[in-house]
Amino acid sequence: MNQTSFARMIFLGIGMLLSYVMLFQHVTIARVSLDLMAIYLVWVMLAYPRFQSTWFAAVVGFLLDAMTDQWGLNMFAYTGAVILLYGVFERFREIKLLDWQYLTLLFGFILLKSSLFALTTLFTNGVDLAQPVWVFILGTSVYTVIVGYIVNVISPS
Amino acid sequence: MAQPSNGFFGRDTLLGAFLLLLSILIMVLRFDDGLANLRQGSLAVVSRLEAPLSNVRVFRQALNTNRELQRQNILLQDELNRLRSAETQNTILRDLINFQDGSTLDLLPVQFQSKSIFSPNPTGSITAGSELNVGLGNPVIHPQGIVGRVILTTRHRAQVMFYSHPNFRVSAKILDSRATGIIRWDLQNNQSMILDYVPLTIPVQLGQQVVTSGFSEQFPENIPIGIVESVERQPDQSSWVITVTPSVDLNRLAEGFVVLNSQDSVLRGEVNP
Repeated sequence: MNQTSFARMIFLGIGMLLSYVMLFQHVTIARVSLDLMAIYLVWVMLAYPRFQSTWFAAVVGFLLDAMTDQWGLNMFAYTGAVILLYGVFERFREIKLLDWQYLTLLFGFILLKSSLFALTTLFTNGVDLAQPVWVFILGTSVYTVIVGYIVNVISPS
Repeated sequence: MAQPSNGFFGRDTLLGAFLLLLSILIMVLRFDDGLANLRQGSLAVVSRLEAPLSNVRVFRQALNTNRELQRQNILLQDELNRLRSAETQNTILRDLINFQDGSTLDLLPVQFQSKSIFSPNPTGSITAGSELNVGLGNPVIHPQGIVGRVILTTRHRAQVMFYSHPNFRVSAKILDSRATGIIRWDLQNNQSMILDYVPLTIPVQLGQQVVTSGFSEQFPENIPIGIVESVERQPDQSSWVITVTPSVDLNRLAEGFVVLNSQDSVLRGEVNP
């Protein structure tokens, strides 16, 4: 990994984070919002080693928490999901993924992340999912996978 | 090729554990004073970031509000219509009560359950029967005028022959001149009644009111029937052909009265006059 691609990935993350905070978090369907950063972290995991991916997940989670006033929740969920699933993603790092493989990885990641997030909210005061847990988990996962597929189709690489 | 992962206590594991612990620590301390400044700072940053798109959200919110207001408007309109309908019904019922209170007749208020106005034999059913002393031939009236008469009764229901029935006849008079005749339905134009047998010697004018004459065993005197609409003279006939517009609109009829103890009953001596 050269520094150019690393910097490009960081700027891409910042851009996606800003676009999420400014726009996509408000684009809800049936009160379910998109998890744009999960798509980003899947890209990161498919491109970088575990150490960098874990850092990316923690920083992205922390920044997202700061932007959405959910301190620690996203950081824990993203980091935990990356740690738990990186072994799976690692196998696909060097190959070109088929669409269904990519979508399956994305679905698995967002499903685990949403589950960790929902689980964490049970032990945290002041955070309400505003909907049943299963609706939150499945809704977010399906919504994100659909958007992730669209992004994957239209993205140059 | 995939890079090998570190061991259980390797760098990656320690980093992961550290970051998870850090996130838990942040969660625990999120409401602590130490994070207050950080939260304020992030709030300020987010506010600045969201400012450019706030108008879009306001517009989107306005659209949602508009949609909700339209829905509320429909509901209110529906409620208003129902209130207006209830007010109309209230007025009608009040008029019926006033009519009943001001009448010397023995009136039984009834509702029409069904009406077949446009059939060859126009009839309707009312919510009262022999249990409430409704009998055959009892006149059915409305504050505006005559409706018909009872032709069939059961215990709780009765069938009414409307004035538009081909067999309906009633003795009538022109209120001003007191000239009498027989009212029947005009089967040709099917919109008005015909008053027969008023002699040509009696002057008849348009707009004169036609009421029951009282020369009937069933219908009491002076119940409105209609208004003279046209007067024609048939060749070789000694009486006018007077077209009468009915006072009661059967299409809008929903309530009425059965006249109990009608003259027929009085004549038969079934009731005390």
